[in-house]
Amino acid sequence: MEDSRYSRQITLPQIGETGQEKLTNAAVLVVGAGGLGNAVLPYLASSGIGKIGIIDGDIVSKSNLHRQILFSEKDLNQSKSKTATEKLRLQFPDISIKNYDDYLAGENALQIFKDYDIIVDSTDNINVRYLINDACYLTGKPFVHASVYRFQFQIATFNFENSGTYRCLYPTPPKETLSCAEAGVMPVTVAMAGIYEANEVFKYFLNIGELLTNKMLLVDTLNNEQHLFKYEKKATDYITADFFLKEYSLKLKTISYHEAIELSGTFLDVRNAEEEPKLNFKNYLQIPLADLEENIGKIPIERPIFIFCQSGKRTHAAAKILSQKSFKQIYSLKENASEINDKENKAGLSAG
Amino acid sequence: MKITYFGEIADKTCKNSENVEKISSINSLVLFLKDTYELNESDFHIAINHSLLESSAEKNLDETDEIAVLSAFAGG
Repeated sequence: MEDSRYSRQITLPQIGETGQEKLTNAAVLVVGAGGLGNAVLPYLASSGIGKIGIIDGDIVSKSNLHRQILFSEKDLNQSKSKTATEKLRLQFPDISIKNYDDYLAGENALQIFKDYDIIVDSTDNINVRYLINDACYLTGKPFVHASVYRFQFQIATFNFENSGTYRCLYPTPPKETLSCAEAGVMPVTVAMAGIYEANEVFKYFLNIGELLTNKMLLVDTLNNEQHLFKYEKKATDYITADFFLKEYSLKLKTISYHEAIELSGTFLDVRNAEEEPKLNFKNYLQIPLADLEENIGKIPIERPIFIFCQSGKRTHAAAKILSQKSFKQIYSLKENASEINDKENKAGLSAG
Repeated sequence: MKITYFGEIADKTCKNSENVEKISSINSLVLFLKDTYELNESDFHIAINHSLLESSAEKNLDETDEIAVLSAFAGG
């Protein structure tokens, strides 16, 4: 029996059997399984993109559920990339989906990008956007970008056939900027942005329409206005392998909980506030990873910092942020939150 | 002259757009934005007639120019 799953889109004269074959042979990596990722992923999968990669080291939190529709209550505290992969595999068993339960970093970006045709930036962190940009530039991959601020979003496609890059649009990261966690966001706004991203991906593979290269589309969902801004391509030949290594490599020292206590530093918990176990001990400070850049001033810069989370995955991303903000004494704690909780409980019992 | 603000810049200026007395150049516009709204120069970008320009660009402005001020968005 003929598979009619894609028949409605194959009927389109711009797609046809040939176009569908292009989608079947396509490989797309989605960086981030948050608001944007949850919008772009189902449509990439449902249209028959043959190979999809999902990379995200975060876990599902309750505050994600209103806009990240692949996740439900039973997925709380579970890996976002793994959960999204499982949901999509159930619904679209005829495509290949690979999950990377990790944060994108200088150590893994180049290797992972090589396995895909195009990268979709679905992150909520500006520094990661520069990492995606530079890794795409070095591996020769185009990437589709979206970002959201309250009821507005920006869309662009970079590094396609020698077009401009994210660094041409925004040469350096802004000093201050708000994520969705601080600024607030409606599910439909981030969903629309994700759908635009998926649309760019389809145009790229099908070679139809016009990609948003050398220009950025800014959409205001409140007044329905769209603004197309052109930008000049700038010199990017300074993005070399050496530049990348210097910019993104971070050799993080590890330290045990007991060794750390002797150094009298700050124990930085980068988990979200609702995560268990709840901790409270001397020199303990909790700042969720998503809020770290905006709360950097709360961390004493002159003292050692011992970072930990639930599994260790967010620790590295936090260390990268602190390193960029000129913190020098950064350590990764060997123990995770539950292990620290056990040690604290034992210490409390002994003392009592 | 009309200036339109987007994203966080609109929040910082507390307005989506405004009409101002003629500003003669990009340099004068940058000074106006820094002095009036205490904007950090590295955090905003200026587009004239939908073309993004360096804030250091030497360009005279015309009464009819469409001026937009925006910044990179972080959320997703």
